[in-house]
Amino acid sequence: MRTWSRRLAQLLLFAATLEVAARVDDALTHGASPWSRHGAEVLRFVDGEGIVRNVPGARFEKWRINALGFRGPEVAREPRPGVPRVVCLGQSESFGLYESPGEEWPAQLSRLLQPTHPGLEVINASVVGTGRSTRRAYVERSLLPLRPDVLVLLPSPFNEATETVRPAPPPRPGPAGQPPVLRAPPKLKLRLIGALPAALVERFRAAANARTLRKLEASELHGEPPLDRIPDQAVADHERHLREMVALLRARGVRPVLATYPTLVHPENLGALSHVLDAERIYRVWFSARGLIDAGERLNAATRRVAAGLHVPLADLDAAVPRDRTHFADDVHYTDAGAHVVAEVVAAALAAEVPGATASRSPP
Amino acid sequence: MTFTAPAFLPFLVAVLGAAALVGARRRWAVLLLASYGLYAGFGAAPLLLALAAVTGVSFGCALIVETRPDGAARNWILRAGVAGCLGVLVLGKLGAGAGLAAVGVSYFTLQAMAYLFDVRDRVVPAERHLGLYALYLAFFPKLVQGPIERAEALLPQLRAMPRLAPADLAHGGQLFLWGLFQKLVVADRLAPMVDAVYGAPAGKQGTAVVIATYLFAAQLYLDFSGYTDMALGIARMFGLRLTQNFRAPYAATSVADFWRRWHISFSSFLLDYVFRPLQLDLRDLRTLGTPLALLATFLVSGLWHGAAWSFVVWGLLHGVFLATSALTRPWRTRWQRRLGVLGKPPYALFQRVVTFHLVCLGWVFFRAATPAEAARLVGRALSGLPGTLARVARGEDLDALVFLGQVRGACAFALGMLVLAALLRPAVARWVDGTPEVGPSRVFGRPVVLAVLVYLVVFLGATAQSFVYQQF
Repeated sequence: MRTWSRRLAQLLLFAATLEVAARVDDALTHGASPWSRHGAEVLRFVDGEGIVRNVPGARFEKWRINALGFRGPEVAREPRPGVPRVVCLGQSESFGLYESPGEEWPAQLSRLLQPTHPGLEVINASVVGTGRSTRRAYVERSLLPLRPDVLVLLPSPFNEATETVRPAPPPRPGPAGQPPVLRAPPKLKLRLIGALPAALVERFRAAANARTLRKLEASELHGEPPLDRIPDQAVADHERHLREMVALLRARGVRPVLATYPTLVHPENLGALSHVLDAERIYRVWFSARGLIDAGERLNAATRRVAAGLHVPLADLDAAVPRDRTHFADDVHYTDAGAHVVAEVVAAALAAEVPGATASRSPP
Repeated sequence: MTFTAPAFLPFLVAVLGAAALVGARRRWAVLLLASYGLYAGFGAAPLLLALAAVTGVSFGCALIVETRPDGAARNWILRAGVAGCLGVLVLGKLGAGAGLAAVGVSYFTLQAMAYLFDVRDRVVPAERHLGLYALYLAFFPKLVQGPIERAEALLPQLRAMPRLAPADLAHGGQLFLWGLFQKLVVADRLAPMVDAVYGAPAGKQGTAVVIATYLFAAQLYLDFSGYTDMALGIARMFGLRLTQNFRAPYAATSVADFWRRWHISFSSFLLDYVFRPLQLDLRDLRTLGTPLALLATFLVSGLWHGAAWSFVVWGLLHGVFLATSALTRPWRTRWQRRLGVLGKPPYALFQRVVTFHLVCLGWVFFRAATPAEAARLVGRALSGLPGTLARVARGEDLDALVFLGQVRGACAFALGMLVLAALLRPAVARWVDGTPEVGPSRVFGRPVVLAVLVYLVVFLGATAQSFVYQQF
């Protein structure tokens, strides 16, 4: 065999072995099939009615979906007699992204409430990337049958405002039918990024996000400037939706708790952290950085108005979570410490709703 | 910065790039700058000063020693130079005892002293190029943890400064990867099991102590051998060959044989510069001379490892083993001949098992916090062994007695990697020796093994702990 062809064969064999090793590792560590696609997309699917849901029993890296399609430990469909059940409904910030396994805020909330309510069930029903358009259907079909005592609703102002400005994006297909992709290269890339100094990675990401944003602005906005202020219609839509949700829950005997949406970037730190918002704007290019901040401020204000007007307990997370990198991993996702503060504030708001619930406060 | 630090790889690539750019003539300057830069990365300015001082003193003394025809004067200058190096070594050891950084001091001071003796004895000529000599002491692959290089082995290579060759780069890279595997995937995965017993020895007995000690023997070997292979691999990338430090030490058939296979560069230093002169000085004591020289030599060995009673006892223990062996050799040989077992494989296996356990007994004192703690552990290991073995046989309390309180899956993975390391070692040794590749399995087996090693190191390697021998 000639030297160059032997070297090429060796290189291919080396790469193939890395790929096999990655698949064996995933199978042994995460129970993933070596043959099918294995990425974060295995966690979600779009059902026949266009509702985005978690895939029951799915596993990917640190994420585990239970048999009912919720992140966290297995729960029975029927609540146990005398044991309160709390359902938490948010998006990726509540599903949990950067936190250590078991440190997403609903899991921490469950631990905080155990001393006062042994056995109390907290179900994390959050689904990544969802919004107003499918929330009611999801609650009616998937959450109300669980007969919760309390439902904590934490809507993302960014998703809500986007749905007013642009119709909901077409549902993404689930993993079924998608061609398998290589697993070793993305793993290597992630490990390489993890080995680099965090400041350097952040600079690279900021530059890459800025480039992506420029391209998206050119293709999506067609020369129009992004919005610095969300339309009043978005506020009205959000407020109306919350009132409907509260009415629906109360009609079905579920006590609602509303929560405002905390973010890292606000007008006072926008200068220093504008690159953090670039990452968020990639998904919402129609809004400028100021537009996103406006969405947060005005929709949170609307949430407070609805809570006050309808006498719904409010977890004012926007006011409670400190705006720093100790509590936020990016603009909207929490660190373990940030999730702890969220859990504490929600636990305090739940006090009146779950009889006898008093959270033991401890430092994050 | 150690070899397992994430920043080391870019550093190495940069040094290789710079070395390729400047050419062979000026490569010494690049390597010297890199070595001092890496050493500065340990963050203790006195370390750099100590290295520079030892370099200057030994370089100057050697030049003077070589030019003096008068034997007495040569010895006085030699003693002054050695005293200067010893002073730095003692200060380093005392500093380390007080919690100060003394990384590498034990190694470069020993090299400087050996160089002075060699110049006096005309084994090597005194080096006249200060830059090359400084590089000999500071060459970054072996600066922190050896091997302790003899001047006659390394200085000629530095003078000749070989061309950078793709084959050396490939072999060096493979050796470096193999070292990383031993350190990150095996040694550091065994460490929590060892620490579970030695870090909290209260109440540990029988099988738990025995297993933890066996595992410590493996951890220490793979940690140190892993470092050495990384050092050899890096040097090889620059076309330089360093001394092999290990040769299957746990296959030794006697404690003396063990020291011919373990930390070879250090034990040969002790043999040439401590034991033999002492043996010569004590020759008037006839049969007691050699045992006494052995005891003194291994006392020095213990003290070199640290100013702590644990190391003193460990050194003396090995001294006692070797002295006893020397005293009883005629008697043992006679009996072995009478029984007809000399050279027979079953007897060699018996010798290996006994030697391994004697070495393990020494490791208990080496690893335990104090000699008293070590003695208690040995006592509890022996007294508790029958009872705990019976409980293990009945399947009782396996988590504490066998898995040492660790997750069973993690134990199984660590032990599996230990077996893999044992299986792969001969193949890696062949590759690095440059054994010609013949047949499809060898040609295509290497990419598979390398890919598995890369995967294990990158994705399943433990978060690197500091190298055990770096503290010495």
